Amino acid sequence: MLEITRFETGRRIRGVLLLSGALVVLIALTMALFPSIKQAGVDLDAYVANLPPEARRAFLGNVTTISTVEGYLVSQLYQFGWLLILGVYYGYAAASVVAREVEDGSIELVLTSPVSRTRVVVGKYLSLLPSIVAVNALTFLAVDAAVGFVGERVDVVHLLMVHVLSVPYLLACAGLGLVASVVSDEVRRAQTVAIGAVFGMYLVDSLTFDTDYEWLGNVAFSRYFDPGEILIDGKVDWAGLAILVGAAVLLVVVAAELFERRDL
Amino acid sequence: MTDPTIVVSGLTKYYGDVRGVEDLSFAVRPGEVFGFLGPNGSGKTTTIRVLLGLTSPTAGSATLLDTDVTDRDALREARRDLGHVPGDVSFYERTTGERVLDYFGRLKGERRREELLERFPVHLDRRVKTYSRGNRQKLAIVQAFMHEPTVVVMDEPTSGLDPLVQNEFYDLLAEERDRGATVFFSSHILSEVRRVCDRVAVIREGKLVALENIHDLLEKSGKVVRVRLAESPDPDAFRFDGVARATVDADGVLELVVTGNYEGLVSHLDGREIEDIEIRETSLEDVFIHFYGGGDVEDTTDGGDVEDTTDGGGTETGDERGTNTGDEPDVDVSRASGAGGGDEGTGGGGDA
Repeated sequence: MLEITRFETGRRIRGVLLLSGALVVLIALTMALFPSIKQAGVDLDAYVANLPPEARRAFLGNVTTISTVEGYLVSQLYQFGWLLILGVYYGYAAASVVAREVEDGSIELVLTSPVSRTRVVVGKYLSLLPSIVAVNALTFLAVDAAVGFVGERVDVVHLLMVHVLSVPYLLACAGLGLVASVVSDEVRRAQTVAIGAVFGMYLVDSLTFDTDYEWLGNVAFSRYFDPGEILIDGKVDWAGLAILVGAAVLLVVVAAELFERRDL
Repeated sequence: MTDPTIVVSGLTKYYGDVRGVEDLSFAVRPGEVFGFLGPNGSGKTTTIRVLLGLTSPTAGSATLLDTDVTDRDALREARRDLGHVPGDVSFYERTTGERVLDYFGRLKGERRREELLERFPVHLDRRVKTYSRGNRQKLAIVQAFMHEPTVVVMDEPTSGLDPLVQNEFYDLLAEERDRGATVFFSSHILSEVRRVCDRVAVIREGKLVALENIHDLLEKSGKVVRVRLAESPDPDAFRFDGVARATVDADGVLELVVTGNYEGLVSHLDGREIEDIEIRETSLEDVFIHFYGGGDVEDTTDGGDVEDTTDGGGTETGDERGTNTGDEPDVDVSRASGAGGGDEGTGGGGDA
């Protein structure tokens, strides 16, 4: 199993470095603005309080103030950057793994080797894990350094927990992309479906939060990973975590079985 | 081991309404080089994809190394002894040749890697993206043979190779056969089939039209007689017993495929003014054109149902050929491809 993961991981190094680099720049720019945001504190919080609830949910999660460094980080970085951007990115990345090779034919030599299709699918999926972990490790260090640089402090354990607990969330998003990847002949279509699915879940979550239709948002993975709650209170939603892990495993099993049965 | 290495029986594959192959049956014996011949779109690739377990048959069955190709666990084990060169070789573009071989080496073994690389050298340190078609093909050949497979299935393996490398490859196939390996490959390059294959299956529009020892196939196909006469001849006058095909090409040269009755030939030429005459062995090209010339193959292989192969030909067409189809070097081919082409059209995409 690990030959495939090892090979695929090696092919991802460049992507991981580029993605991490971009995020580090984003983190630096975001934190550089914090001192002036903090000064404007009360006014901005009033503005935030007046946002429509959907927008507040989408951009701030459960956070009520952005003039504390934790609230600021969640609203400006994690809510949008992790739940949406990285979620979409890993959905997209997973959507590419099988469909691209089916489209260009390079899967053929792998599938005529003595490996099962399940092993190919799982091996490729697992190669996303080192990428997710590496991006989170690098960005964790960058956030910690940037917060210190502007003279603020966050609870390092809480910060670490945000990054660690984002891994199952991103794996679940990747699982969704993987299913799209194994059923599609065209990588573009798989990627579009994956992006649409992750983005759609995020929208449903935001639009139904605190409404009568809140239950609808229970299908969204973003409902089970709350960076604000973790960073500010250090509170972990264990049931949510279990749901994300379960969803990721289920999606990978479904993807493997669909690929086994597929005509190529 | 006396069981056939590959058995295809009643194999049918449709992609929706599109025909891939239909009721195809043949067996490949251990230790033989077996050629699988047919034009583009005839179903060669479809058959290979079924044999490799990439796609499942609509009906019928196939076994590879005594393993049902639809039994996915058993076939996975059998693939340890399988080498494969795909028709459209595609590797991971941004990876070096070295890493590609490392990868496949870990997946299935690489005992002969260095030896093969000496015979088929490629720039291992460069990314596959920069490889020429021929270099990709060489890399594919190295990965296909480096784990000493007992059966090798290849889809037009020599495409893109220069003649020297092709020769090296033919030598390799001969050595593989001597080692006891079974080689199955599709081709539409007749000279290579003639050179390396022991037996050949010919398919047309997804159906088997011939399955023969290659020498028998050529022998049965008779001789080609090309005669330049002083007067423009009527090909119908040469449709006598023993003539499988009679045509006049654009230059006015009478071409006959003769499978016996040489007395008849002599007496029919008697009294005509012969400017030039050439008699040669049938080439596989001739046989091929024969198969795709619209006649029933069962008839043509055993020597000549004149009616079928020349059906609809007539003098009229013969006259027109001299003027209208001058861009076609061999009139019979143009007619053949016309007839065959139309049919192929309905089965287009069968190789997809």
